[in-house]
Amino acid sequence: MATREAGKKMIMLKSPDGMEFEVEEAVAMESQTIRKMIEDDCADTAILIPNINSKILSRVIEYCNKHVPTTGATGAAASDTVAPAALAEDLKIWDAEFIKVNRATRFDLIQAASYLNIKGLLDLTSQTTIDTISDNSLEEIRSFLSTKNDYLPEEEQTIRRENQWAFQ
Amino acid sequence: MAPPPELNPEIVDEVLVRLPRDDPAGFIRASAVCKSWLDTLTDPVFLRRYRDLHGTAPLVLGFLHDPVDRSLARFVPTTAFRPAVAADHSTSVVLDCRHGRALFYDYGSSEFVVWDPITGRERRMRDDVPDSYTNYTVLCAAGAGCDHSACSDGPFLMASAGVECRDLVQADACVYSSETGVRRGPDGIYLDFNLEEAYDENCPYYLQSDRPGVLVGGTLYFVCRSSALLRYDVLGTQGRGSLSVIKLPPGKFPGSSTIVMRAENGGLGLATLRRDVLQLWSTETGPDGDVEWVKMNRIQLRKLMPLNSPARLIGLIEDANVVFVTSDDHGIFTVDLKSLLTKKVCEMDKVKDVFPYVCYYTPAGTSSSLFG
Repeated sequence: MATREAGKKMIMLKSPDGMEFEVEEAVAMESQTIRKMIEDDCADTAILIPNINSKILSRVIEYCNKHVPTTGATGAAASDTVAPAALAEDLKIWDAEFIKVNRATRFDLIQAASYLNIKGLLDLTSQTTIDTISDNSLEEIRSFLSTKNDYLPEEEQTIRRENQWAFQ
Repeated sequence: MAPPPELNPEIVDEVLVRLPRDDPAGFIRASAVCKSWLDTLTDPVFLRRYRDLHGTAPLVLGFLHDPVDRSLARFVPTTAFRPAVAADHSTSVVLDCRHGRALFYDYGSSEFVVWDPITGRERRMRDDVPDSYTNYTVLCAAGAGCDHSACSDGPFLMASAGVECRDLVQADACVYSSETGVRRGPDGIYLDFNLEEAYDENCPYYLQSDRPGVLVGGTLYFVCRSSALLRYDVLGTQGRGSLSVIKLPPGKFPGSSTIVMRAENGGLGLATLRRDVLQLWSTETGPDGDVEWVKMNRIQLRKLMPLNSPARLIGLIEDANVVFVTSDDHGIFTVDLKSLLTKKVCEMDKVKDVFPYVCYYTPAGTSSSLFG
């Protein structure tokens, strides 16, 4: 912890495809999984993040960089007198841009956020899928999410008949 | 060409656990996507996570009221939820709302109507209730064993009560069962002599208008205009006289500023409002079965909300001990009587009584009712 005053403590994250990312410890600790590893002292030099390729990991780091709370004099952002509401609004706009990705990437991001336990990113990445369920017909939901319908036609008919209100 | 990406089963949980509570249709639609999603939505481990994330406090999706402009909707949403079918209630007045069912009286057709805001289903009953009945209450017929997560389409009871002043002051109550189509009762008791017709206009035992009964531990309590409650054993489980009168604590308690609720000890309680101060009461039962009132907390509403005009007590969320209070200049607020958490619900003014619509839907309840 000696490095804290001198500068920012950095740690190394490694993806299974061999890429290494040097990130501030505070940024990495947006992930509860990594936070626990660091707090339990099992993160000396580099942390291998299994199952998350470098493309997705770099996006996750981008997200954490943006969302890490700005505390103390860490540069331009902190010296600006930005109201919290404006800051939240700025984050919302940034999130909306961030999540404009194709479906495969979004699903990978949900999986990464789930493994790394980053609540904000999970909420953000799941929301699009939740919206899909709320706003589309059953056929569209299945097609958008590539989910196979294993109900028998008569079972599905019964569901629709008994619960008409939910399909209007 | 690569196959389209799939939502990995491991992360289906992560997504479905975020289905919002105020969109019950979402549970049905998700359950209907495929069987594994249905399994997820009814899995006990998933449901525990869902409850942890969303909480279990009763969720108020909106409230019903009788607008001065009869053409306006009776349902006022307080979340993203909107009733499935835009029902025409222009000839109806709201009588009560409980256990996912709203009770109306339709003057156009002279019928009682039980309406489910989620499914839009209406059930109508011919009005064969005598005119002396003035207050009405709807409740799930399944009794204490039901969590109401999937019962809003099921059988219900409609209890009616009223007080008449002739030579004698008499209270009557009866209950209609949708299951049998039969009305039980009337059960009646004499309350007082009407000496020299002293009570004709101002009988303190008349029930406070537009206030449905409140259900506490399976018993209904109706508020009288002044200083008394009418207690009705609606489920018929107490095995003694099903109708009785309970005197309020000494003092002046107009029915319009008195709300019955469940006390912290689970028994009968009260909230009374006077000069912008809410006084809470609980009861203890004496050795001879008498009800004794015990003063509990005092809540200064001025510390919780802006008040230019006197506060009025206009509704109760029965299972949560949250009351609706309005000050006409500042809109409608809910006050949690335990935590004192106060929330502004809407800007409306001049609202007389509100009947909160509480959502009991859960993924499990909804999904398990999938096949009717």
